[in-house]
Amino acid sequence: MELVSNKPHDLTFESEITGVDISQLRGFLRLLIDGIEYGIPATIRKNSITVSIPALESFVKQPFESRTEILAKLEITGPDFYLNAWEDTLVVKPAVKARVAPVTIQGSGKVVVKGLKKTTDIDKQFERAGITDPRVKELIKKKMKK
Amino acid sequence: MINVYLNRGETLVFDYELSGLSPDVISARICIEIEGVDFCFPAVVTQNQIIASIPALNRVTNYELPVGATFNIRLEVIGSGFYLVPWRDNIIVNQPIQVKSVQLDRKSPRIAIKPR
Repeated sequence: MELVSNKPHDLTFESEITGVDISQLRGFLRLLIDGIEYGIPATIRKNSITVSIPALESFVKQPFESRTEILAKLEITGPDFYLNAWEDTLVVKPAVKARVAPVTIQGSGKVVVKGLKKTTDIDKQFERAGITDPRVKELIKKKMKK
Repeated sequence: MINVYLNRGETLVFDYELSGLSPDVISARICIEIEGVDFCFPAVVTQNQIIASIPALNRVTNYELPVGATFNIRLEVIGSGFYLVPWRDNIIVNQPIQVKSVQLDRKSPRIAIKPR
């Protein structure tokens, strides 16, 4: 499973809980990152356990600059008992960010039109044919007029 | 109430008595609840002590922790299938300790050599 470091994620686990009062249970999704266990509280219902993980960047100091594998486990604790209900490795993908810095614009930004160059179809054909010599171009144009 | 500083770690030492179990089969951690998220740090369990080190909080979280804010802290002990919270308290965030030094004056040492 993959998490993006700057986005919240919701996890839902199917569960079957019997023999204990659900209201006495506490659940946490534990994320082991750099030797610290970050615990996000889980909501326990009879048939499901849900965890809303805030964006990791919002509370974890360590920056996620590349794909990082972290250990995750779902812990359920009750009156004096402990259960590790689920454990897996999650992949944290770094957030894609683009910073756009304003570029300094120098000068007044005037646009001056010095002259217009008329381009005709024949000029384009000269370009395609690689004819650049103006004298050759004139000759061809004269012959075409004739 | 325990004072913590944003830029300085703290070590808490707890005396405990364990019977019926070896310290090898239990683990302990100290957890601080901040903004609904648990920040848990592993503790070292010896024969009669649990030693928990809390790193400087500003190295652990991006949450802004204002001076004077209080948070719940607890010690959790987990063994083979059992779970205990033998200690709970609050921590209060204190002003970070900062030392600023400014060079007041800079004088070059003078060496005078006199001919004999």
